[in-house]
Amino acid sequence: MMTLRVRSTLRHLDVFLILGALLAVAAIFKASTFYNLSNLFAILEMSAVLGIATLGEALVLIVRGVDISVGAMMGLAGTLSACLLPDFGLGVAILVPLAVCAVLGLANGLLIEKGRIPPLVATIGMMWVINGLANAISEGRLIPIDNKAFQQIALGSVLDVVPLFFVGLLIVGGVAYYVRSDYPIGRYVYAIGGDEGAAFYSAIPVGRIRIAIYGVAGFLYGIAGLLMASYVRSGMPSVGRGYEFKAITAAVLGGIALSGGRGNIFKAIVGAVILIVLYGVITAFAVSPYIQGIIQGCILVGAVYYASRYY
Amino acid sequence: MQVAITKSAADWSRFSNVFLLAAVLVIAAVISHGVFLRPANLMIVLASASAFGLVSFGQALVVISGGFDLSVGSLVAMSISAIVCFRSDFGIVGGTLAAVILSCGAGLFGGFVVARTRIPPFIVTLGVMSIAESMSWLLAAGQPITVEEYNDSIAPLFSFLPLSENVFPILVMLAGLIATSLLLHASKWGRYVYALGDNEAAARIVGVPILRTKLLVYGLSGFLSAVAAIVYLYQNISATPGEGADYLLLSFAATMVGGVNMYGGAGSILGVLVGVLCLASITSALTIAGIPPSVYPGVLGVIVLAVVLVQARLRR
Amino acid sequence: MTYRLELEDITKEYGNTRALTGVSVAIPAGQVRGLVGENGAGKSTLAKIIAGDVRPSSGKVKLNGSESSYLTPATARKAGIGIVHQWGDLVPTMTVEENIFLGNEIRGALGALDKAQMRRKAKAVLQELGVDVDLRATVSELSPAHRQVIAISKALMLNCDLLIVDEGGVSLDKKETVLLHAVLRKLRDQKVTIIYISHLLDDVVALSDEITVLRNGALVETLNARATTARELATAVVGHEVGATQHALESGAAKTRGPLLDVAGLSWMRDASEFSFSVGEGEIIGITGPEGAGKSELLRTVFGLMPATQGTVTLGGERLARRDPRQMLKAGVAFVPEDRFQEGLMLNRSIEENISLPTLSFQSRPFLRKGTLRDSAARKADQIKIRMASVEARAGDLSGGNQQKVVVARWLEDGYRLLLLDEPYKGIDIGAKQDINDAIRAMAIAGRGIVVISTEFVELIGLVSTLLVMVNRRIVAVLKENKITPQEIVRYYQYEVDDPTPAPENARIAPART
Repeated sequence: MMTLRVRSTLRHLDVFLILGALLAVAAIFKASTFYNLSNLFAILEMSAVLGIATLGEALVLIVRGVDISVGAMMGLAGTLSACLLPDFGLGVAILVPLAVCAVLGLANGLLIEKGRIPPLVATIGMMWVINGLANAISEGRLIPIDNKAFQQIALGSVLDVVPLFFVGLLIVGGVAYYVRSDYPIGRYVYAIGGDEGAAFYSAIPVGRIRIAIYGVAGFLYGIAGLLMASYVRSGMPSVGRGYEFKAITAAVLGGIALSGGRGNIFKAIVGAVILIVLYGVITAFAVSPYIQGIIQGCILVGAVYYASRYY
Repeated sequence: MQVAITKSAADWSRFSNVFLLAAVLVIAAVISHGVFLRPANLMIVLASASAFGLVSFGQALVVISGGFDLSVGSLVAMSISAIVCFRSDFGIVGGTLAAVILSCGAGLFGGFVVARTRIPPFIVTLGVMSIAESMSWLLAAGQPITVEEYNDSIAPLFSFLPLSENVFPILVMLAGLIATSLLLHASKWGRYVYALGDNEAAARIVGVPILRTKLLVYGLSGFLSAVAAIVYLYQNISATPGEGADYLLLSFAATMVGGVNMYGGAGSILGVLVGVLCLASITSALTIAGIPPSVYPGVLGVIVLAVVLVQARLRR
Repeated sequence: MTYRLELEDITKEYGNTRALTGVSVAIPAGQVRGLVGENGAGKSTLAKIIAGDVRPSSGKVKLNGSESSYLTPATARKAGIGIVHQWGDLVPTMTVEENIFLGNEIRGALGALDKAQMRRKAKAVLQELGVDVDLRATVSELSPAHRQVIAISKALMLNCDLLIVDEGGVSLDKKETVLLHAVLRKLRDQKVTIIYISHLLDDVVALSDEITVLRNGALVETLNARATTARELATAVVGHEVGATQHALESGAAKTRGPLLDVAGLSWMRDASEFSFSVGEGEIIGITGPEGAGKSELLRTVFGLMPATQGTVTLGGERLARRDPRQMLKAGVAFVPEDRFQEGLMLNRSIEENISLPTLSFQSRPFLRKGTLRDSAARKADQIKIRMASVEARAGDLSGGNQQKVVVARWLEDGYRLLLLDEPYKGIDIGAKQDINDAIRAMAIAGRGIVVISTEFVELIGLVSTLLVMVNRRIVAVLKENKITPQEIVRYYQYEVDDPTPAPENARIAPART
């Protein structure tokens, strides 16, 4: 009985244990290269970017979908923002890209729900469309961002180490967790992924909620894209390349089931932090950065395999 | 080649494909003010379609079997780097062999995991894609790649023909077309691939060897990616690591436009060839019309979504 | 007297087929009304009409004595009608409390969930029903009976006072059935009207006040449960027109030549129940029983589609230890699955491809001889009388009966020694059933052993020489030749329900086993 409780507690804390282990490895072997202000700031900043994107992907996975258009949306948001900044100012340059991403996310949802296209195919198609749009806007170039206020978005910090957006991410994660546990909509989202038929018989508007989730996800990718653009001080269509892959990996690592209806949003965010810390550790050990992709591929397949055995 | 395909698939892939190709050719001709239809241009278009055509045939096999292969583009990139990496020790033949073995091996590995676990094919091939992409950088040590051997040794063989540069790619694509068509439409393995894509549970009960069929399909897709890498180096001589990743988009688009059912179980290699030619024509026409290449994915994406919407509608 | 629900002259047509013909039923408030009939008798169509899922073609619906328009799911819910579907309407990944209130949550301040109140209400309902379930437990961890109770609680939360329970007793064991009955009786005592649909006649007799019997979409009669035995009910369900003499076994055809299949102590479950039977060359045996009795599972375990926990399968003296489809086919055992859409057909491929696949799997020649394949497929299709334009036609375009024939046609030749058929008559017309039975007889005459599972036992009468009756995951009877009659079979369709407070009439229920 006791061991059972210990085991289930461990299972609940697994992601935190992994994260702790990684941080410990870094502390023991590479304390000076890993634990310095600028490196920590960079790691937390990238965690915020990936964490926000993962939040969107996790929502989509929970309603039994998948979204491959993450990276393209991020690129579009940054590019659009960089184009709008000189002429229209900060407000427009933030709101318009977010609105566009939300609308494109809704388009994903509509293609899937109304067009009856499998989520994988629909979002791959949209990925190219969105990427083409971003390239058409930027004419394939990198657009530098000189606007100081926009640059400041990524630089804002608490105690010089923790980027504001990382704090923001934790707050958003907390809110998501609260909504899931305390509002009907949270239950509906999980019900749709858990058993669509039962959700339908319970008079839950399955189609509308799923479309809305894709819209929310698009909006979140937009935020991640803007944050990234602010951090690298430029708009570039390809800036989010591979983020769909990272976001899925992080979500699965955090215990979100590909089969829908299971998983904890907050742990998915921790999954994103784990991935970024892992890259940081790899870099600290001065291993070839190219090895990242290999590790990433193994983690994704391994985590899904583990989950498929467990459920 | 008379292919026994089923009614609804036939309606789509026989008639609408021919119609589609004709439409594309007309539009291409108009956009390019007739330049497109000149024989020389047509031959160049055909040759330029060779590498991604080969990849598309592999992709088509996988999609017909009910899966998706997201690793094809990265396998091309990995093969390109592998050729360079192993050339220094084993010569160009050894390098080629190593690339084929690696790429085939990656495909077989993916097929094995897809057959033996409950991990969805797209996750497995996404993982393979990521690994292959890293490998392409590692194998080439991050350096630009130059391989002149293929062009130097093969091009002279056809020098008696006009536009001789383009003969080899076209021949290789033709060979790939015939081989995959024979496999899919004239052998029992083809029947297995269709059965698997249409209804895997039913295929299992009638004794279709699921593991071997998936190994074959994904392994062949890896093999064709390696061949595409050779054709690519023949045509371009130099490359940067990671180049070839675009073939994922192109092969996927060609497969969908070519009438392969996205749910698996229907489609023909001939249809995919039509899809490949359509896309090659479209890109060629876009180039001639002076549209920047970075926008192509957007155009192709719209085409894919349109085709797929029609497919979903036809499915009842 | 006003009734809670009255249906007058209800007819429902689907295209050319009639699911219900002029059915009239009147159910007083606070009654448990049993609804019985064979497969396809129209039970579930009737239930769906009451729940508003299906619109009748003609007829009247009255609620509490006043005429109502045809119900929709929304108006049915508003009128206090709830339905518990056969496999529940629960989300298995969510907790008991979440499921009970799904789509009907109680909100407090700022639209947030009032969890305390929901917990209180859920606890109260479960307590009222006399069931102790942890509200935080995940539904997938619950026993089938508890799931039924949770589904019932969910319906009650919508303030329903007319509850339809569709096949509630299926796949429950004895103890669980007692629990479910106790819960439903408590509800009846609180003036909730219950419509209880079941295959298990004993189950219905024990629980109901009155029982409505349907046959072929028409009302047969409504019986007083207190004055009815399960045997009388069985006679009403199958009707008198089906006599054993009509389908006298064509003796001589089924002369057994030697032992073939021997199943000994086989099981797919962890508990002690195990299964043994044998089939001889040229012998046809049948297995029947209500839905959820475990018939399919037994056959799938024999063929290796489900892992066995114990027991052996021996074919012609050789033990088949590692069983998977390829191994079994190599040994000469073929399988016709229950669900032709899920496991039977490649719907988008041609008839020829569907028939030829197993032949191809075991020939070494890699390239196809299309002419030969076409001829052999056409020959097999002819043998079993598939009606089609050509063998090149798409399997998905055939009618249900012809699709089923395609699934059987695969195994007509090529020297298989044993054919296992799982529900081959499901959803097909009488002509197709006959054609399939003819093909089965022909294969038996050629020396093959055959095992046929069917819930529709009428089809097995006159076909099989031995019939196993399975109820509740146990073989309860082995009937031979002229003992195989509907009345004899249905006699075993019952649970030994230990009623804590048996009404005196209930004592008249025939004993479960003789």
